[in-house]
Order: sequence, then C-alpha cells, then structure tokens
Amino acid sequence: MNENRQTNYVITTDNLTKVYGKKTVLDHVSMHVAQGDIYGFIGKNGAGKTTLMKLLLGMSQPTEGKIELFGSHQLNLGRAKIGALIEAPAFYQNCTAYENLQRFAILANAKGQDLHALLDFVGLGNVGKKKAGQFSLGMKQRLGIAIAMLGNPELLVLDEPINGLDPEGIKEIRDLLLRLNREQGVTILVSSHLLDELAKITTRYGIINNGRLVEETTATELMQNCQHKLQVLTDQPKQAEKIIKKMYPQVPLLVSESGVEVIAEDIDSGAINRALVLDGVNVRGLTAITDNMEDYFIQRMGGNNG
Amino acid sequence: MGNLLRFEWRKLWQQKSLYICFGIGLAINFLALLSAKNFGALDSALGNMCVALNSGYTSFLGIYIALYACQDSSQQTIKNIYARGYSRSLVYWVKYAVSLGVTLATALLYWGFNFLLTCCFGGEVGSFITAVGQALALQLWVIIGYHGLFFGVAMLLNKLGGSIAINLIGVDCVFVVLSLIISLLKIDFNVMYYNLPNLLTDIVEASLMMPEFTSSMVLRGIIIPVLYVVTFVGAGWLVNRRRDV
Repeated sequence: MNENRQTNYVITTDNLTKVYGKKTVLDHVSMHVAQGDIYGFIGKNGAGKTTLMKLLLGMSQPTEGKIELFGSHQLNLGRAKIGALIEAPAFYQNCTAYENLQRFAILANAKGQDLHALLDFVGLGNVGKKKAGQFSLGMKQRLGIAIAMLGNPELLVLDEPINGLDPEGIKEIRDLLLRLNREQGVTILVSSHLLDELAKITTRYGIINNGRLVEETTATELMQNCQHKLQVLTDQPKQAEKIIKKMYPQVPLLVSESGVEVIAEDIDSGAINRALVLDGVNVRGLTAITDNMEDYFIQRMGGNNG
Repeated sequence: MGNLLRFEWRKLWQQKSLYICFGIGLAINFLALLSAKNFGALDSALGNMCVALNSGYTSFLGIYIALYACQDSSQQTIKNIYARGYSRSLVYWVKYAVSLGVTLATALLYWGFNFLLTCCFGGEVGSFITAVGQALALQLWVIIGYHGLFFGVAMLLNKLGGSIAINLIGVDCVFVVLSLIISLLKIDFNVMYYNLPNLLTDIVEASLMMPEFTSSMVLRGIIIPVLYVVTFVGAGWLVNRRRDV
C-alpha cells in the first residue's frame, strides 16, 4: 500500500483470478502498472493476457481478487479514463470511419475533439465514404486504435494493436504510442506477440504464463537479467577451462569441442585472452554474446513446451 | 447516463432497418385499408385506429427490436461501451428505455396513419365512445408487453437470427404446444387467455363490438402485459448482468 501511494499506480490487481468451469484462466495475478509506464504484457496464446484486460475493462467478472484503477475501487469511474482495443477491433460495419468516431465520441465524452485530425493521426484520413466493414485488417486495426484514443484517455489498454499491420504501419503505431506516452503522459498497457517491437517502446514488462504472472520487471532490469556470456574459441578447450576456472572459480563454464563459454556479465575478456595466450592456448576467437529478449521471455514463459 | 442515452438514441434513429420495417408495416396497413375501401367496407377512422396495431405491427416490432437489441453484441461494439465505464445494468435499461420510446412513438404513428388515411379515403371520423379510448389505452399497454417480450428474448439470446425467429413465431409456438399438453392432460385451463396476440385481438374485437369494456377484460389487459415485462425483461437483465463479452 505504501508503495502504491508513492508510485501512483493506475492499475493494481490483487490476486485476480478467473475460472471458467474447471479451467483457471487467471491464477492470483497481482499486477502493477504505474502512471507513465508503457507496460508490455507478454505471454503465449491462451496465457491469460486478454482475459486480464477484459477483467480490467469490465467485460468479464473476476471469480476472485480485486482491481484498483487510478487508486480507486470505483472501477467504472476509472474506466471512463481508459481507451481500449481488445481482441478484434469493434465498430459498426455499415458506418464509415468518421461515423463510427462520431458515435463513440458521444460515449467517450469527446465533444469538440477533431475527429478528422484523429483519423489523419492513425492514417485513415483518406478513406472517405468507405464502410468500415470493407476495410482491410490493418485499416480496421487503425480504426480500433482511433476509437480507443477518443476522449484523450489517461490510460490505453491495447491488446495486440499491431496485429495485421504492415511494417510501415507497425512503425507508425509504435511512434504514435511513444508520442502519446512522452508528450501527453498517457500510460499504456499493451500486449503483443512481436516481442522485438514491444521491446522498442516498453518501460516495464509483465510476463504471464498459464494464467500466472511470472515476473514484473522494468526494461532496465530486463536488460541486466538477459544472460551475458563470453565465447572462447580454441582447439584446447580442457586447458582453457582450467585457466578460466582458476581466474573465475564461481562462474559457470560450458565446455564443448570448439571452446568454452563463460557465463557471466562482468568478465574481463582481455585478461582471459592474455592468460590463455601466456599458457600457450591457441585462441581463435573471443566473442561477447548477450541472449536476446526473445530467448529470455521464452524461458520465462515456460520454454517452447510450456 | 446522458451520453449513453444520446448514443443509443442516435444509433437507433440511424438504423435503416427501423425505417424499412416501419415502412413495410405501414404499407400492409395501407393495402388493408385500400382493399376495405374497394369492397365498400371501410370502417370509421377511429375504428381503423383501433385495428392499426393488429395487422403487421407486432411483426415490425419483433424484427426491429431484435435488430436493435442484438446490434452491439453481434458487432462486438458492446465491448467499447462497457470499456468506457458504463455499467451493464445502465446499458441494459437505457437500451430498454430507448427502444420502448421508439416503440410507443411508432404505435402512435400507426394510429395517426390509419386515422388520416381513412379520412383521405372518405371514411367517417366516427364517434369516440368509451370502448375506443379503452381499446387504445389497453393496446398501448399490450404493446409495452410485446416490447418487453421481444426485448427480453433478444437480450437473453444475444443472437440476431434466433431472436427474430423467436419474436416472430416463438410465442405462438409455445402456446400451441402448451395448449396441446393441457388438452392431452385434460386440464380445464384456458392457456390462450395469457397469450399476448390473443389478448390484442380480443381488445380490438371488443372495441368494435361493445360500447364499454368489461372489468375482467380491462384487468386482463393490464395484468398480462405486466407479467410479460417482468418475466422477460427481468430475465434478460439478470442474464446480462453476469454475461462475459
């Protein structure tokens, strides 16, 4: 609670649980999204990401646990400050993009908001009288984002917002989210399968696996947590192992026919190189390797099988 | 709540199907009156007002209410409404109120249409006896019952096709089956007494035959629609409060 007051969380869940029949889709999830965060919500298909978002937005009722939005349990008041895009974008198929915005602007209390500018902003400025039902997947996604942005929400909840977008569209949406976050202070909770794309904007991560929140970490912590190693290529791996072991007794080593992998971040590669050469070990190469985020997430999400 | 009312109101008035169904209903009435005129059997304008809601109007209601009530669930736009912090109960009752308002407005238009058209066809205005006033008031009350039934069914099913089908033929089917069961069991119970279409027809017939309604007819006309509203609108509300979207 004290942390809550200091940090200003816009979303806090306490042991949030959702059970469908005998299946526990969310299992005691305690999540914290701070004001100003771009919170990347990561998990495999069916891990519980959309379910959690639906619970936050009142589309589904929790079986157990509590939700706080903007530090309050009055959830519908909080939801009035949220713009959301959950699963497939929802809009009136037989209306144009502008007509859809006109309708939803009433709900979002967005009187006076320049709807044409908003359409331009998401790249739908030139769609004219085309009915939204005839839009391509990417256009529908953009319209969904525009609807979410109505009323200048303080928090955006976006479930796979870049699904179906081309690379240019992905970049545009990424830049748009960054701009909203930096210029207007909008907090963003975003889920995506495209981890590399997410990593470009996210300031905090939540990793969910089989309905359980496995880890919450900041982008900085994540960078530190990603595994670093030094790969030493040599014809004499056993001898190299002995020398490195003497230098770094606590550091785990992986020995193979082609060399030794030293698994640690703070390794003086120059010192290792000198020691090996002085002891007559033929060093063919030294490479510093950092595991990419994808590997890290996959490991946290239960590996390829989990 | 004001925003939600405006949103729903605007959406309903922009629903083309409302005008199409309404237009078809009026066209049926027009043809009925035209053929009555051609056969020289044109009733008075007030008399034709009393029968206005008994030919095609309830079908119009069954279709347009299903289209309106199921629109947000079929297009998934209900997610956008809930996500903006509007409670399920509020959304439900606003939809109910808006569609009821339009239903009553269209009933008045049907009456006005039949009245004016009869006058245009050279029919008499007729004398406003007690039975006419009672018939119009009770018919409006029965229409509220019809609206409750159709709205409740649509919100319970949340499926457009199924809702239209049940709204058009469901009540009659249920009562035919109930009648059959009762006749097989040889129970002395007139189930058709509780059937809304029968009630509407009985009210129309009574208005044409009697100078004044019997108290039992008035009581039946008041209580039965209330039963329908409470049962179907209540059930729809209870289910919608807990339904995930």
